[in-house]
Amino acid sequence: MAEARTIEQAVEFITTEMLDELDSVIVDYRGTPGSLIPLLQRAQEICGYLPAEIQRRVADGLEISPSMVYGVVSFYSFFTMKPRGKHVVRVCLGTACYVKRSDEIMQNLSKELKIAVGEVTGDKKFSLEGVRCLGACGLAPVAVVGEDTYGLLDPVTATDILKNY
Amino acid sequence: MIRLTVDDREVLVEAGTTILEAAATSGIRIPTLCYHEKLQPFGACRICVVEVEQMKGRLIPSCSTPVTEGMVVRTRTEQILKARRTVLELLLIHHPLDCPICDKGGECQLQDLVYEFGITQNRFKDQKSNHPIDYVSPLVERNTNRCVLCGMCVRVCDEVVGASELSMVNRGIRTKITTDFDRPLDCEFCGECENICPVGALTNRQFKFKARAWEMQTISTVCSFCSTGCAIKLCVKNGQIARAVGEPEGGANRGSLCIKGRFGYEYVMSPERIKRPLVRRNGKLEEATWEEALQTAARGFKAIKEKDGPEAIAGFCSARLTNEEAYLFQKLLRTAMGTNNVDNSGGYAHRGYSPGLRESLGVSPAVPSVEDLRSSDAFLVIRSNVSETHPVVGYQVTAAVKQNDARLIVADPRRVKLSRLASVHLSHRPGTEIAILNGLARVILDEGLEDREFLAGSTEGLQGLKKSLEKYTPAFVEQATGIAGADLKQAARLFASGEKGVIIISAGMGFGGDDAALARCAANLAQITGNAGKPGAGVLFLGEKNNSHGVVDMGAEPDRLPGGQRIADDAVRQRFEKAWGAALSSKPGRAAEEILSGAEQGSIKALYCVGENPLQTYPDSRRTKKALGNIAFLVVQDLFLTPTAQMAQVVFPVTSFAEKEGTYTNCEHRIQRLRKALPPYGETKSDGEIICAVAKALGTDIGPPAPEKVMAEIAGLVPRYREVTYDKIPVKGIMLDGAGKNGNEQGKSEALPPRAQLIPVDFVAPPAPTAEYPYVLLTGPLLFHSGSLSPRSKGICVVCPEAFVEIGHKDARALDIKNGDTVAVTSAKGSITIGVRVTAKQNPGSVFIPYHFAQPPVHELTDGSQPQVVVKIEKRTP
Repeated sequence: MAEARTIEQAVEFITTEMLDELDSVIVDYRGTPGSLIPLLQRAQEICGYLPAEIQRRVADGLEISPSMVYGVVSFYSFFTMKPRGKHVVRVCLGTACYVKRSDEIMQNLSKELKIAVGEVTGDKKFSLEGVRCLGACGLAPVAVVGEDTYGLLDPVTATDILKNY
Repeated sequence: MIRLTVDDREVLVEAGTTILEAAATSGIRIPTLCYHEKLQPFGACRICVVEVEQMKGRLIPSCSTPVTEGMVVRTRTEQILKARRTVLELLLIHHPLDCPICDKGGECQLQDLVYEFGITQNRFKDQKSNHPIDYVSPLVERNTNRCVLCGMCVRVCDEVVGASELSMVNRGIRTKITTDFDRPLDCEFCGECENICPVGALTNRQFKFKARAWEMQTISTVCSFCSTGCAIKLCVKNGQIARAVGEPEGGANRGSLCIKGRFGYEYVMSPERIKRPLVRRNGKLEEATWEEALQTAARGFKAIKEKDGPEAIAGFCSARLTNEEAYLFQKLLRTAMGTNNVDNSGGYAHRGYSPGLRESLGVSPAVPSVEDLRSSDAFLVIRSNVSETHPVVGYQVTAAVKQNDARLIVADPRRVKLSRLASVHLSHRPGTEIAILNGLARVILDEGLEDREFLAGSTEGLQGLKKSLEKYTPAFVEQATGIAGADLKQAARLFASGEKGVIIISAGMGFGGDDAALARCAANLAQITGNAGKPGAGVLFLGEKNNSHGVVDMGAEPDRLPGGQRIADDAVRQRFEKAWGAALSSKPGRAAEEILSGAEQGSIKALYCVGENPLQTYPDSRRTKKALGNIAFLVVQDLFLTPTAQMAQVVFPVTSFAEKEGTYTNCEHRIQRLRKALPPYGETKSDGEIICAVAKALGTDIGPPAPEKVMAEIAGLVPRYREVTYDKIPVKGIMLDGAGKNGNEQGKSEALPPRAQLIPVDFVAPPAPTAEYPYVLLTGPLLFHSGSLSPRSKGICVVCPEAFVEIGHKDARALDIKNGDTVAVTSAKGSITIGVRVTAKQNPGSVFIPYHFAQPPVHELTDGSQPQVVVKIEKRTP
């Protein structure tokens, strides 16, 4: 049943404009060997994530099997099959950040946004994710919203970063 | 050549050989879990590790490491054995060890290795995996908990079958093999994944809890469906077939099978089979003794012969008879009955082979062997959905493309499996294949891409052909077929650039008419490109049924005696008259079409139908019904009480392929032996025994039905079979034209005329859609079925239970039809009601109906005199 819900959500999160754009991109990649991963990257840029419906569209477009597409999507952590908000909040849970209480930052953000890790807010504005290491241990603890990085956060006031969006 | 040492033994192998293969050549076995000779090396399991003197400090996977000069390899040092034991221990952490209830028990490679290495303890402990088991997919059960991630199922499905249904998903410890989003299987159900699985992660549902591996008796025989002639092993327990597996020794298939071969045998054990002879008494078919049935049949034939003459008698034989039975059948008709009115399978499906190819390339044209296809580098697949009609031949084409980058050109009006792999897909208007072949030939000649040496040295008729091709300019071809000139040129150049090109045509694609012309055209193209008479090249004409080629060789044709020898030729006829001790009519008999029209007009009064079911399988069933209704004396010999059998005066019940002996000749002219696996069902007798008994009842002796005796007689009369000795046919069979030699070598074809003939063929446009009938109807086979026999197999019917009409998305929208709707399909001949499948396979303007099913009767729409018919489609309100 979990799967059925994902497909329903896909209809909600993905607009016809997105599908049209995806279809036009697929045409560019068709027939080129090794085009699956770059195409999936483009698809994720366009649609935000890669649910079953999008994967099947990619498979049909490249004339390959949906199982192969799913194998690739599930292998790379870069690809996500869950919908994301407009702004993706990523909290570093790497060793350096963790010892500086990034787990508390995560908890507070979760409470503030009223969603669990990996979920999207009802207004689709934010989604919350944990990441391993962002390579900015000198700034620990670190969180990233979209493309913006926030370092040296205080666990209690960290939720203020959301006010910028 | 490369010289190396393996375990102190010197080994000489070709460059590119892996250490594993090199060791095997000198009899050294290295254990593996993820290696298979059909697949590219993968190096996943680490069981096959060895030590190499020159690569000290680490263990080397022997399956994926090529040999180098002077390599010193050790395969069984203490360190290696320790590493292998550790790998096994690691696998056993999650493997459930439910061996007592696992169907792979006794033939599980993991079990065997654990036994071999004596693993009794495991140093590592963790929870066993607890993935849900897939009990939903038909025919194959998936229990991921037992999986060792060797990836062989994923690879065989991708590299060989070309379906790519399974994939490795997730990463690291969470890796598992499944479909996208864990859905149940929706694939070809060939079972290759289940068969290759070294453990019990994928198992055969038909076989579940039927038998342990060691309890069964296995019999190597030949599959009873298509003309690929895959060797299969029937595994029998308590007089029942528990399962069928591919015979690794098999000449054509090397262990591979499709859904029909693996799961289709169940019709043999169907309770619907006829057990005892039936005789019509007071208008009703009732059970009778063999004696009564035989006497009734003999009396009926005799009466008609005396009253209306031998020309009023005719016989149809199925292309599923063995060579011996087909030989006996035509001998019965020609001697005891005195007529040449004998034909096989409607006489419409095999005209491509005979007379088509024969007139161009000789009585026994040399063909590429199925195994050699892997080495071919250019394929033109035309009027042949080979992946569905002859799936194992399709595997070879897929493997040649995927593993060896062969060029593939597919000419098909539908989007079929192979068109996805093709370099060029010529999606043409149905029925215009001849224009395409002529167009390709013209482009090749125009651009100077032909094989001049071959044309000058081995062929005749080039000038005439060139003249006939004048009008087939790319522009003309485009207008006739809908193929753009640029695509045609690209296809021509690709095909001509191959060193070893193969043209594949399937019979039984349901559209009859110009099969012979198509074969001639293909032969022309093969000759122009020099693709004749060398291994891995030529025209591969695939007959529809298991013995399509054999029954033609055996003379089940109106104008030819066994061996394709003309009955009108006095010297030939006299030789047969002497051998058979009977006078033969020199007048060629009637072909199937003419037999039916003769019945309609009243000149054919008696018909002996062996294994044929014209009412269901011949075009225009209303006319067929009328013709059969006119026949005063109809005798049918079959496994089932078919619609045709229900009209008969006498019905003889026959044994199935699993219950008899004999030989089949497959599409590559390999002769193989059937071996008896089961006792005869009920009181059934083999076709051969019945034919001989009918002859005896008629007072003629046509010899004993024992296959070894009949084959000896055949060998004396048919040059191609001269060297065949029944008892000496090995499991992999014998290639007829290289008889006695290695079965996979291509022999010279003795009857090849001194020069092959280039015969001009003109394209005749098929009936075009009209305002009243706007769609072209294509009828044909499905992957899941073969002829009208497979719908009697339970397992196959779980996957594909009923007929449907395939309509493309665009046409469906225009007609306001959705998947699952019911429509009426109407042609000038008749009308049927049928469910709809909306599919991307179908191009606008044409629809497709498979022909295997008795209901609804698709042949009420078709027309024997036309290659294809046009229809209209109306939505039925539910």
